[in-house]
Order: sequence, then C-alpha cells, then structure tokens
Amino acid sequence: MKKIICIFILFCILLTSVGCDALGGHELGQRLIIEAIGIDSDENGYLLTLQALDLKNTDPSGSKHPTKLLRFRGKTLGDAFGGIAGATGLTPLYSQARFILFGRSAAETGLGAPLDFFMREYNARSDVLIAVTDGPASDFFGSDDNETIAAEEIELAMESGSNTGQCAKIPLYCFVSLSLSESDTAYCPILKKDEKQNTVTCHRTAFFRDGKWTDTTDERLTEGFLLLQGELKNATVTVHTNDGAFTLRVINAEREIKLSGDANSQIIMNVKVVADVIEYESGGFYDLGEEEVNAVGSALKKELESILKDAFQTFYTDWNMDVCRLFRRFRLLHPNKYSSYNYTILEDFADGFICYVSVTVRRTGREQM
Amino acid sequence: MERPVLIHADVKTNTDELKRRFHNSFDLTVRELTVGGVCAAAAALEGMCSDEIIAETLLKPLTNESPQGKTALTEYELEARLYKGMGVQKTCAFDEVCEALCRGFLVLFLENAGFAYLFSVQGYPKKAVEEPQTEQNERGATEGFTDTLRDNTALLRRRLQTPFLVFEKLELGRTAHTPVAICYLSDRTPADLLEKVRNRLSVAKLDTLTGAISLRPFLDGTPPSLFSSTGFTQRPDKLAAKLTEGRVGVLADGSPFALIVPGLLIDYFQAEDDYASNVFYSFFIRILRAVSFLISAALPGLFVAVCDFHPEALPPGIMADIAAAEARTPFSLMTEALLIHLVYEIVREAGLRMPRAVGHAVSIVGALAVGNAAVEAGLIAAPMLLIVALTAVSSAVVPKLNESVAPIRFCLIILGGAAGSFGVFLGIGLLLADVCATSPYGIPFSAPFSPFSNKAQADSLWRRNMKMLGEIRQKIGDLKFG
Amino acid sequence: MNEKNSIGAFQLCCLFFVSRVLALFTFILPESERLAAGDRPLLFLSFFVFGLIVLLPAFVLCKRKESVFDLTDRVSPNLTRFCAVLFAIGAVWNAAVGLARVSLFAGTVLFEGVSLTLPMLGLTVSSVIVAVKGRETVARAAVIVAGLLIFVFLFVLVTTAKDFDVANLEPPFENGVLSFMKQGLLAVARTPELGALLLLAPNVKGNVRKSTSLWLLFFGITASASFLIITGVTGAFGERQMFQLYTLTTLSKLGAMERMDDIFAAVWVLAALIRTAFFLGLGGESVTRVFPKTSLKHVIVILGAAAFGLCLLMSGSVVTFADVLASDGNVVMFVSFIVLLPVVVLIAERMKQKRERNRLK
Repeated sequence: MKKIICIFILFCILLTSVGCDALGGHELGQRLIIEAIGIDSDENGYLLTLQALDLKNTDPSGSKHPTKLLRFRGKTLGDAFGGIAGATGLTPLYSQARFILFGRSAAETGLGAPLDFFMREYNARSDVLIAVTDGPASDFFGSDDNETIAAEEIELAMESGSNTGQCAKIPLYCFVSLSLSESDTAYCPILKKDEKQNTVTCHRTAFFRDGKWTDTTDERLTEGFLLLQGELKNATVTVHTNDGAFTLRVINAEREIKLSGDANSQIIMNVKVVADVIEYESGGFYDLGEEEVNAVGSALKKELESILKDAFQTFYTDWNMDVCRLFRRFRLLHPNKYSSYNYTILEDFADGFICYVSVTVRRTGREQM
Repeated sequence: MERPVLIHADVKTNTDELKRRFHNSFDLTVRELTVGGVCAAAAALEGMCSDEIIAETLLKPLTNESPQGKTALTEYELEARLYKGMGVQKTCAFDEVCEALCRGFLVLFLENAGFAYLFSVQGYPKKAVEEPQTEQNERGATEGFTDTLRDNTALLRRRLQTPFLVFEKLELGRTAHTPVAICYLSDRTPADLLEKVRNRLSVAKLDTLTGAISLRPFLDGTPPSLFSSTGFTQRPDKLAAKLTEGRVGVLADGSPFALIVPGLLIDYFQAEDDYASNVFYSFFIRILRAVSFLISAALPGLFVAVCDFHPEALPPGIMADIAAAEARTPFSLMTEALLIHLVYEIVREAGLRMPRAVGHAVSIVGALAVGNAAVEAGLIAAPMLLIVALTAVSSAVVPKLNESVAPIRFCLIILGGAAGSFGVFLGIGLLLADVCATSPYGIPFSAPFSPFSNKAQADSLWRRNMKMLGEIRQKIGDLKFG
Repeated sequence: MNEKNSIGAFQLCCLFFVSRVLALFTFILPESERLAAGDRPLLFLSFFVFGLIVLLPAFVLCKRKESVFDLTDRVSPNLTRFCAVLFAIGAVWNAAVGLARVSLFAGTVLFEGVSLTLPMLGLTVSSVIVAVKGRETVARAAVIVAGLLIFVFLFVLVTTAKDFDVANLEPPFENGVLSFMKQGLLAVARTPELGALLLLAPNVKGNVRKSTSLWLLFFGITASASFLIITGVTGAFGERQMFQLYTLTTLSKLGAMERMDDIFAAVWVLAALIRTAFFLGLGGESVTRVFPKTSLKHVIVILGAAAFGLCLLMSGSVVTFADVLASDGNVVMFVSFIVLLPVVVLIAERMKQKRERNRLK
C-alpha cells in the first residue's frame, strides 16, 4: 500500500509538471518557427527581420507553408530577440533558421556582437549559413505587401552558388572560427536579389577583417578563391584555342599545399582538375580528336593557373589576407620557426607562390567507342 | 493426519459412498453388473470416458465371456481378463477412486474384494492437434500443443526421442488437482535450476489452475518486474529446442501453452522460422523485431519529447507539417498521445474479446471513427495518428511483449511530456535496470548481451549457420555468470 | 570469491567507461585550467602511463583478491571504520559531482532557464532505485549503456569527420612537455572511478589488471580522438564553447537526421544514472562496513539524499563548479585515496605480519 501511495504521489508530481512549461517545454503551436533571420544595424541598434512560419494560415493538407515577416528593434540583438515573445506571444525557435543574412550596414559595423548572441544560444544551429547582402537585410525577404522570397529559395541559391563555383558558402561555426583566429580571414557569400523576377542569386564573396566587411571579390576572384580553397566544383570555364571556344565544366579541383619553411619560403600548390567539355563553339558539329583535347586541357590549365596567381596576388599581396590558412599550417608543421616568423611569413609566401595545375579532360561529349 | 477411507467389501456401500461424495451429481453413472459370477458395480463420470473403449475392451470380456452358472472366478483369473489390453490399477483408498473418476477413469468395485480396479478409459472431448494461432510459422512445423497434457507430452516426446527427456508429474490446485508436468533433458539441465523450478511450483498455492500461464508469477520470482522471465510457447518444436539448451518446460493439463524456464529477453526476438531462413535474413528479421519493440515502447514518448522540448531535431519541412497539424488541435501533444493510445488499447481489447465477426467490425469502426473522424474534426493531428499506427503495427511484431510494452509506452509518453528526452531516457534507464536486475534462476534476463557471452552470440541477434550451431551446442548454464 | 556479488572485469571496465565518459561530455574547467588544444590528441599517452602508475597499489590488491578493507581489518578494525567513512564521503562527493555536471549541462542545453530541481530529483531517485538493485544490476546495465555510448560516439565522430580541417589544429607541446605531463596526471586525477578497484578487488572475476590497463588505453584513445575531431572540426569556435563535445554533436548529421544532439545528450543521462548509482552503491557498501547491521537499502537512500543536496549546492554557478573541479583538493584527495592509502595499508600490514612472525620466533 505504501508503495502504491508513493507511486501515486510521484505520478501526481509528474502530471502537475506536465504541459505547464515547468521544464521549458512548449507545444509546437506556441512556437514561432523562424526560417530565416535578417539583421541590420544603425545608430539606434539592431533591426531584426524574421521570416517565420504562419501556422494559423497553413492548410494542413497542402505541402506549402505560408510565412510571415516580423520585424523587431532593439539596442542589442538580445533585446530585439527578447521582444519576439512579447509581441507575438510565441516562443522563438531559431533552430530551424536556414541562414542568417546581414545587411551591409551590420556587416560593415562588425559581426562580432550579433554572432556572439548565436554562439551563446544553444537553441540556434552552429552550422546555420551566414551571408551578407549589399542593401538592408530587412528588404531582402520582400515586404509585407509584396510577395516574399521563401527562405528555402534563398538557401537553395546559396547551395547552388556554392555547387557551381559562384560563391563560397560558410556555416556559422566556421565563420566564427576564422574570425577568432588572428591570422585567418572570414568570408561569406553575397546575396543579390533580382527585384523584377523576385529571385535571388549568389555570386560574389565578402571578406572580413576584425569581423567587419572590408573587401569584396568579383566572380573571377571568387573562382580563384574557391580554387585556393580546393572547393571549386561544377564551375563553368570558357577557354579559347586555335580550334575555337570551348566551355568546360570543372567537375573537381583537388588542391594540395606544400610549405617549405627554409630560407626561401615557398608555397607550392598542386591542383588536380577534372573537367568535362560541355560545348564546342566551332560553327559546326565536330568530334574532338586527341590533339584538340590536349589543346583544350592546356588552355584550361593556363586559365586556371592565371586565375590562381591573380587570386593569390590579390589576397596575399594586395589585401594581406591568409585565405588558405597558410600561417596556421606553417605553425603546425614548423612550430619552432613559427615564433621567429610570425606574421611576416605572409609577405614571404606572397613572393614564393608556385602553382601547378594538372588537367584531365574526362568527357568530350561525343566519345568514340 | 486424517485416516484415509478404505474401500468396503460390500459393493452397495461403496456405490452409496461414491454417490454421497459426488453429491448425487447427475453425470456420475453407476451400473451394477456381474463379473464372472461376482456382483460388481462400475462407476464413471459421463463424458469423461470413451463408451467404445468401455464396451469393447472392458464390459465385453468381463460380462459376455463369463460362463453362466459357473462358480466365481478366482482373483487371478479375473485379473488375467481385466488386464487384457488396457491400463489397470488397483486401489484400496476411496480418495484415489474419486480422483481417478475425475480424471476419466472407470471404477470397478467387486463384492468382497475390499479394493477397486481403476481402468484407464479416458475419452473426454478434446481439441485435435492444430497449428498454433498465436505463433504462426511460415516454414517450420505446423503442430501446436493441445489442451490435453498427455497429447502434449507425446508431441514433445516425438521430437525428443531420447531417454534423457524426463516428465515429472505434479498436481497443482487445491481443488482442481490439475496435472502439471515439468519436462527437461536430464543430461543438459542444471540441477539447481531444476530444483528451483520444483520448489517454486510446489509453493504455488492456487485453488484452481486455469492454465499454465497462471504459473508464471510463481516461476518469475521477486522482485516483480515488467518483463516476465518465464517464456511461453504453443509450439512443441520450440519447447524441444529450448529443452536441448538445458531449460525446463512446464506443461499443464487444460492449457495449450508450455512455460519455458528461464526465459530471456532475447527469446522474444527469436522465432522458429529464423532457423529456416538464411543467416543474413534471420539477422535482419531479429534486428527488425528488436527495433519494432523499441518503436512500440518509446516512439510515442520520444515524439512528444522531441516536439515539445527538442523541435530542432526535426527536419524543417517535417517540422512545419507537424506544427501546422498540431496547431489546429485543442489538446496538448502529450494529452493527445495519451488519449489516442488509450483509444487504441480499447479498440485492441475490444477486437480481442468480441466474437471474431464483431471484432472485425470493431476494428473498422475504431479505424474509421477514431482515426479519420478525429483528424477531420480537428481533435487529433494526422502525425499523431501516424505515430499510433506505427506503434500499433510494431507492437504486433513482438506480440508476446505487448503486456510489458503497453504500460511502458504510457509512462514514457508522460515522461516525454514532462521532461523531454531527459525524462524518456531516465525512464529507459530504469527499464534497463529492471531488465538487468531480473535473474530469478541465476541466469540474467539480459544475457547474452550483459553479461556478454561470446559463445552465446552464435544464436542471439546474429545467428550462425546451422552447421556451426550444431557444433557449438549451447547450454543455458553457460550464461550463469559473465 | 562471492559469486553472487561478483562482476566481470569487462563489466567493471564498462562501468568505468560510462562513468568517465560523462565527465568528458560535460567537461567544464575554468579557462586557466584548459588543456592546450595541440596537446589534447596526445593526451592518451600520458593518461595511460600515469593511470598505470597510479593503479599499481590497486593491482597488488587485485592480485591478492583482497579489498582495501580486508587489509585494514588485519591492521586495525578502527582503521577500517575510518577508511570506510572516508570512502563513503568520497563516493557521495563523486556522485554529487556527476549530478552537478548533468545539472549544469541540462540547465544550459536541455532546459534553458528553468529550475532543474525536479529533473535532478528524478535522476537521483532513479539512481537510488538502480543502486538498490545491486552492483550486478549496475554493472550489467553499464555494458549496454557503454555499447550505446560507443555507438553515439562513433556516429558523431564519423558524421563530423568530413568537416575536419587540419588548419584548425594546433602544434603539440606549445606549453612544454611538463605542462603536457601535468595535464595527463590531472586527467587521471579526474578519474575517481579507479578507486572502486580498491573496494571491488575481491569481487571482480577475470583478469582485472589486463582489463583495466586496456580500458585506460581505450578511454585515453577515445578521449584523444574526440578532442582531435573537436579541434579539427570546430576550431576556435569549439574552444569557446562550454561543452565542446556537445557542440560537435550539434554538427552531426546524416541525411535528414540533423540536430540529434538533444537525443544524444539524453543518452548521457543514462551514463549519469549508472555513474551515480555506481558511486551510491560503493558508498553504501562502505557505510555497511562501519555499521554492518544497517540495511544497505536505507543507507543508499540517505547517501542519495546527501548527494542530491550537495549537487544543488554545487550546481548553482558554472564558475564555482568549474573552480571546485579544478581545485588541487581533488588531486590531493585522489592521490591520498587511491595511491597513498593502499600503499600505507600494505606497508602497515606487512610490518604487522613481520612483527607477529618475530614474536612467534
């Protein structure tokens, strides 16, 4: 009997704590499911733009979920986020956010403070994507009157941009790691909205110093950056030979870095490229012979080496940015020399950059058996 | 101690005593006759004996062949006739006569004999050997135990044709005196295990024994656990296989189920069909059963926990669907889960207890009314219905564990609603401790995983091929301590 | 050996693993005490070596199949009582530390911003229930939980390894070899589970010395591999997170299965349950040495209540708790209990034997 009474009391304690948010649980209907976060800043603080699921207007049988745009202001980002519960009566759920988009103003002011909020918030994803936009982030998703761009579409633009060599996507934790390291350079893609078509593209990269957006690469330099990173995949490159113009798709570009820490500091970069010919602009329908293929390969090699050298020159000499994390690699390989070199190593390496590109043309489109 | 009542020399006195003891029950039939010139009386309980056997092998030789007018037969002559082709016992105690009558024997009193003959002429109505309904098999044997102990022992003996197979007979039930048989292979079964089974059965103070399953609590030991460490089967081939591992079987008259002692958790995930499949498929199917068990026990609780406390674990698309559906229901997710599972249990119980034809109707009404209508009325969200459907189907994969799983499921729903995955895993931890603490015969219920036995892994979730299994010869005693 | 209360050497190692893994997952130390990132992948070397050295006295007891109390009994029954009380206090302290770790972790990750008294009470009560079921139960459950934890570990490590970047790593021995050795010793000192060997030596079946040595190596490698992947994947971001292994689990994904971290974190609740039950059981057995007539069940309930109270005191602030963990008192306590005590008792017992032999002569 005693046991039964004990179990009954325990059961009652349990039941009283159930459904009363005693331990911070919330029904899904009581949550504001945030799909995308936009952050702008000005002298008054932060403007937070959220694209959240509109559960009340959702048709349960439909596959599409309507969203709503919400804007909150606050002196700090925490303030702004804190206003959500008061204004909507819902508990914000950041974990479903697909990306965080910073407006130019916020990015130029510095991402340290806003990212600190997400670093401390366990509810947020560490691998949420980071991006910036040229204009204010608050307008990016659309306005309350206009048709909004779904977060899914924007995420897709970033994914496809990254998969076609147009931009370099980066998750929050990597961005923070790069920002925190003294020698590394943080970067993120730049999103552009086509107002007429209401579509988003992603094709350039923003670079940060001390958490602030300072430099921007164009398409070619972005390609070079991706080559330096060994991340160039499915990028389209056009080369010209005596036979005409060839468009190739770089399927894969594997990068290998060798550092020498002796008197002549050198960085030797081997890039193995596999590419497919996807178009031969010659005015007719011709098959490619061995010679043409070799010529295409050489042209691509030349083009990529040129892109690489230009990129290296820009990043290491002009901007003094260690985008390949050479300093850290060097430190790992030669910890004893590290202290004597310190950051001057970047200048040394800038002069000693040697790159080798080997190209394999895998498919020409009309293979002979 | 009370002195046993002895059989009287006078037939009339004996038949009167019999009638008195049976309170003139109408099924007690007493017929007076003359056997070899001697006055006699035959008594039997109607319906318990075979009329054919009585007529052909008993009454005919005793009455028709006796020469008229001849002097009474000597006892020796009489017994020579009586023993012609049937089991006969002699007794002087009236109590034994009564017991024998209850078991379907025919009793013959002879004038001036002072004892009675008990003829084994049982012929009560009984079920034929059929395929077991609760343990269907695709490729294995199709015979199942019947309700008759004798038939069951014969079924087992046919599968284990060895003198090492021993049946020990007990009578349980203070009123019912139901015959119970402990069966084991004397060369494989650990003596202490057998002794413990005997001891536990001997203290089973029951008035009547409704079936072998009633003996489970006595065999399970203390402290009580959610899981019974006494297995059961309706298949003689399965019992035979378990006996060869050194386990003990318990059969009871009037029950088509045999108890297997000790039962291990892993037994619930094994079936006889596994040995007829190839090793990879049987591994897959055993894993599937284990996963089904986990799903049926923990899925609703985890679903509630994830939705209420850890929605980040849900992929965005799925979460949006769930959130949209849940936003329209009036109940909290936990209440919804409790209600829908309660309704499921009601429908299930109704389907089991109702006559088969009505049972189908109940299932259809349950599925239609509870499922479709509740979702359309916005009382229950469609994802929750999917969860209950998954749970129900999964629990059907391991039906023997259903009685353990049902309460666990409800507890985990409450814990999930109260403390999220923390609560669910705390519940699972306690459950794990319960499983690990169960070892009523010194053989842990959680064996062969914990304590881990390498040898026993040959036939646990993974099964080695039959050639190897034949060589390994597993014994339950090997799992005693790890 | 008492077969009834015996556990296998493998089971004991699983118990150690489960108990120690909890500390790894909820690793909290003040910034000053943090191990240099470059040293972490090699930590298993010093952990293994120091672990073996520290366990030498315990191995002597294992060889003799005697517990430390069996020795103290021969020296002086009063010494047994004294040691038993000390061990009981140590067990309660460690149970409370485990609970406080879970409390801080759950308060940060699982139940943000709510009072954790109820869940921690639930965990303590559950641990008491498990401890009351006996040592064998705890050990058997530990084997299954260890399997589950290893699966989770492998899942997390394998699914995050693709994001591994060598450039995130730091060179080893940046703070010197001495600092590396010191951290190895500290890691061993944060393994109070090893003290259980002193009590359980006569009740462990199998080759304890071999199993424990292998465990030291296995756990060291597991911890090092975890640190290597954490540093290689999360880099400076992970460095700034309070629960680094948890941060790694947040990055683990397989197809549509993302953010399983809260589910994984809940698996650690099982580890906490086993760890607390294990220590409460050990404490209970120590107390019953002092008061043999007392029911073990009641003692465990009282020790559980004490551990719960201590946990509430400790888990008030992360900073306080981190300081408590990093205090030298822990090292002193570890060395006194696990190294000095058995050595002193062994010497005292030998001297007493010698004296008695001389007297007989």
